[in-house]
Amino acid sequence: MIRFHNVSFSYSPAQRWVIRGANFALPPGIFCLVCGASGSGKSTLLRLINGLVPHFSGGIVEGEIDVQGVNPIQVGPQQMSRQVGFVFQDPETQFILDRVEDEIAFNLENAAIPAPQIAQRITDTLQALGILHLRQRRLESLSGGEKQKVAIATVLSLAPSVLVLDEPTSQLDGHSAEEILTLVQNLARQRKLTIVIAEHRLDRLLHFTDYLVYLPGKEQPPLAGDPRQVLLQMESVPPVVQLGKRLGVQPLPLSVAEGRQMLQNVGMDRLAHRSSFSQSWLTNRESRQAVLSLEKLRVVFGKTQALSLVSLQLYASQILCVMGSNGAGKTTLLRAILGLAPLQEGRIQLLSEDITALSTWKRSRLIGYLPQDPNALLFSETVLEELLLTLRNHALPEDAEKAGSLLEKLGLATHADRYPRDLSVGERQRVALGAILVTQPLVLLLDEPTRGLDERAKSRLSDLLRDFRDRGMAILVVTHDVEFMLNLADRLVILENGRLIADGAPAEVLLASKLPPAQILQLFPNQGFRSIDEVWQAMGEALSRMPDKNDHQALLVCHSDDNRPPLLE
Amino acid sequence: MPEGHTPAHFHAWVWLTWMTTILLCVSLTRNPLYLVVVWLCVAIVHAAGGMGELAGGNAPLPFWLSLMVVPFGAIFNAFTVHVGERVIFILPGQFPLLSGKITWEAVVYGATNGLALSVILLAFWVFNRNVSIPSFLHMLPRAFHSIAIVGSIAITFVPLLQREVHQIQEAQAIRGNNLSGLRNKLALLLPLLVSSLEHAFQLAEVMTARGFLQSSVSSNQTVWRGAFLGGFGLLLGGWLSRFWGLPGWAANLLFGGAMALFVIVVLATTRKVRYTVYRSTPFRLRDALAMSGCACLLIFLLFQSFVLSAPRLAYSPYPVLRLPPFEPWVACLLLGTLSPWLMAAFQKHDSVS
Amino acid sequence: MRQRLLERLMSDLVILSSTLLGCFSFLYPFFFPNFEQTPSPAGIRITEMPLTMTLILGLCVLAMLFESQQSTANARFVALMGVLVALNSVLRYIETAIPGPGGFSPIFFLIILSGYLFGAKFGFLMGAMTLFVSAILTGGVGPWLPSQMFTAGWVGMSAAMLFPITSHLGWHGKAGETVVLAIFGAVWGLLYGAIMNLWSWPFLIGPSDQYWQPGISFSQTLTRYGVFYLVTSLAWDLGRSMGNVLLIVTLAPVTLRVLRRFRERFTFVYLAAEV
Repeated sequence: MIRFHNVSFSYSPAQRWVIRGANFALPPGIFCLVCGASGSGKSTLLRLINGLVPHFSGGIVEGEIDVQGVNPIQVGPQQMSRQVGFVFQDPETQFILDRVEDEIAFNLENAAIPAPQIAQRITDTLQALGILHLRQRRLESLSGGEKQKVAIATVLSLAPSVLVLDEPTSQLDGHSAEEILTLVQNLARQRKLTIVIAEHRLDRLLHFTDYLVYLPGKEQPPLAGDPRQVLLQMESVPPVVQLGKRLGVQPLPLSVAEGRQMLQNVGMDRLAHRSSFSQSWLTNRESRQAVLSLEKLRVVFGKTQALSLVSLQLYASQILCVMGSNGAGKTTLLRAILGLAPLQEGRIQLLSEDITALSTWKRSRLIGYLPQDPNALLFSETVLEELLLTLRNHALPEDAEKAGSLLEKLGLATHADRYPRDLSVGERQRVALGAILVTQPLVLLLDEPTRGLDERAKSRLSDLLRDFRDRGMAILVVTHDVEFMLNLADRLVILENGRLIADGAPAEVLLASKLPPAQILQLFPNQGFRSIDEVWQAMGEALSRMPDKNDHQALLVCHSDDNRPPLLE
Repeated sequence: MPEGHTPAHFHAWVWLTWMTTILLCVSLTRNPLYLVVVWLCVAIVHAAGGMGELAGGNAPLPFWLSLMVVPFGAIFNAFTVHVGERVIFILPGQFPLLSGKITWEAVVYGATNGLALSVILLAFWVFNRNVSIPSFLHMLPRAFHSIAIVGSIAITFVPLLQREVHQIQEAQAIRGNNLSGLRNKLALLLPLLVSSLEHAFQLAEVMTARGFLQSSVSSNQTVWRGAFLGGFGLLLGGWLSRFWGLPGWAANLLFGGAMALFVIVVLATTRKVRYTVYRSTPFRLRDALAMSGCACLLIFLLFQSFVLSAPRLAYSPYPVLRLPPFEPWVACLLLGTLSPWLMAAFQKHDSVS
Repeated sequence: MRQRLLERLMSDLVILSSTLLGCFSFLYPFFFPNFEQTPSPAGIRITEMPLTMTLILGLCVLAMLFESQQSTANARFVALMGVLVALNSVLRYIETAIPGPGGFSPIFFLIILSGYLFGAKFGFLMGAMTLFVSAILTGGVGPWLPSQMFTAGWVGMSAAMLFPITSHLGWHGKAGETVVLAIFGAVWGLLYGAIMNLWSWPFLIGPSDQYWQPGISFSQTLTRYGVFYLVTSLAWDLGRSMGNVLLIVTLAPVTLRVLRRFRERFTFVYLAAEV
């Protein structure tokens, strides 16, 4: 039983409350999902459970917290580690020692568990997670997903009754994220653990959630309780739930299956095919010249062909998304374009000029690249300085005006003098984008830009990219986030084992592929919808053609403002 | 991951004892004949290759390299020390250090010194090769737990840093920075520092959440410090007793007392640290056997030097060069340093047949 | 309160004694001939000298490590030091990969700055652990390691003394700070070399030299050592010294800014019981 009674927290009396008036009780064995925008206090709430806040972070706590009869504020995080296992977000920075076995033993050693028991516990835990074969492996050789599994193993070895996970999949790709979440669900069931997990990917977890805690932020108390009730009051929800809210259906559907049922009930499961909006790129292809042309690229690492005979044309004013399973060669493709991966064969042409032999730093003036971890790009003391640094590197005039207007467009004008690393994840990404775009490149490459971003930041990014596209930029985005892709892409390309196997309209290509489909596509497989707004519009059109429209109209009239999802004020 | 490379691998303690014995040997004698025996033993063990748990990565030190110190020492000593009866020639002039008579005694002494140094170098090389990093850290007493963890973190982080350097170089290239030149290379240091500090903070949080307990800071800290000060006092006393010409055993007693005090402090604080040491490799009979030869020699040496102060091992070529004493039974004892190799050979023979 | 004062006093005493005795053991060769009055049986006494020196030094290092371990009583400092030591060890690779002039070693830069900002104990551990870890990583654990650890530790420890000086002069964050640190770096560049030579000298020359020239005085021994030093390592140490100055002058201001920015996050300790 985890109980929060009027709990509030702030870092100092001068600052605002991060958490205000949290009141809820989690019965044992429950699966609890914590959600909210970035900066709304999710991490803080989780850390209150095991005492990291305030012992590690400092600050003032008011109210009472009770975790299985123990007060974490009194006891401190080291002692709490026996009852509460905490798994962090970034698998890369969690490890102290070299080998998997030693890393798990670290927890047990610190708890002064007798030596003979340690070996047994390690074996049991590794088996429970299905990673016994990794026992003697060096940690640096493991993949992100495997590392997270080891991280879970380290805390599980102490046999806690509560497992707290702070966005455990945000740094992982789609497949590993699935694995981890399934694993956590299984563990919860087998060991009767209480799970408290903070996640952005609600769609994967909602159907399994017993209890939902939503943090609105801005010093408002968290909402907690039955998922279907709390979702009514939330802004960012998965597409199925969005649809349910707009249709005013109660109880809200949580999964695709429930969504289908709901559509059948309201008679909206058959809708007309959307216009050929998504086909536009095909008709214009012949009349446009490619901005970036890749011809028969081949990249070989050791014995594996990372890219084989990949040919691709990129056009101006077009957003191209690249998807594919793990290790398919997506990142390699981007790196090859920029010259960071050695080409065995092939040519790259930028506006009919051959740049295959050009060095990376020269290419970067016309081809902007945002890597997976934008932090590595931030060197300077202030945000403005970052942009000016790039100009200086390219020996371009350091035009503070130009940089300033770019910052405005990125929404960073007020942060021009701030230290970049103090900003939030989304803001840092935009600073990095600014640093790359200040030379006004023709092509923009982005590698998994949605990692660690919440819904608001994602839609902001989408808007920004669409804006750049409309100004003529050719944009290539590698992503595994299907919803994001559907909303944004003009064209979708799929890589598998280093080969290009599909190229065409996003929805069609996605459906035909082996990749996990988006919720919208699962509900409406043939219509080519890309967002709930399109669905809503189609519903409106369908309604106007229906004979018995009055019944349905009543439902739709309540939520007639179809550009804004209903909010409870 | 293969389990072991060779059939015989020994516990880290075996190698520690072995190396201590060798070092003690070398420190106590300048008898060239004995030193040659020791050198041969070390060379054999060295040539036998990796016998440790997970042999380290360094290639064996070539013999000629280690022997180079011998002529170097000989020449250096001959030209800087001008003492002895058997003169080779006399360097004329007024050079500050160099002029004077060049004697055979000096050459021999220098060569012996070089040989001692060579033994030391080889012994350390063998140690490095046979003791893996984790077992080395495991040997540290729990009283130094924090330091051992610092070491572990550092060792784990170094490969990550190297990857980070690569990433930062790429990031620089993406931003249009032409990477040539020392100045640009130095520009890597700052981003590396910043990301390392971030990493440290996250790591600290993870460690805290995983129950990293500090050694209980008890009120008896004063006692340990008092013990240290006492130990220092004894050390000083031992030294001064030398100056005042007191017999050797008095000084040794005081030194021994100091060491004992220090050891007691370490052991006592170790007991206070509530922490289990989980070791994957137990200490087995064959480890004890491998250690036995060294142990015998070690006891003999300690007895000789600290209790008797007898010059059984001593020799000096000055003032007149003469044949060094050689007692076969001492040489046999010295051969005790071969025990790891013997044990390994015995094991291999056993497993093959 | 008295308890804490007593603890501070004892702690400082241990550090002081350890340092003095350590210095003493390094200077042993100088004192030896002067005090050797009674002729002793040739051999054992003389050959024990490096052994005694190593023993005393080893015990001093032990005591110092024990004392300075206090600076890592907190997960944050353990992590901080681990990371800084790793960074410094990577820098040390540069020493062998790109040989600078003479004994140029980039490690002292971070050691000095750590001691300066985070205190004497942290500085000592930083120096000692850098040498320790880089020795382990390069497979170069050698007989010179304890004295290297001790001396590098001294560099870090003494850097802490500069802090009140610059604070008093109000030079924090200004050019004056860099100058003070640069001078410090230059001095230690030479001193480090001199001390390490003291350690290796008896090995190379052998103590019998002094023994057989009885009555040789302290100053004469010093002269001999001076010559030895000049001939062998002054050029080398000048390289180290100048290298330190160069690194500090170019990188210290920016690095200090970064470290200061992080210092608040690292030094915070939550006082639970006070509430």
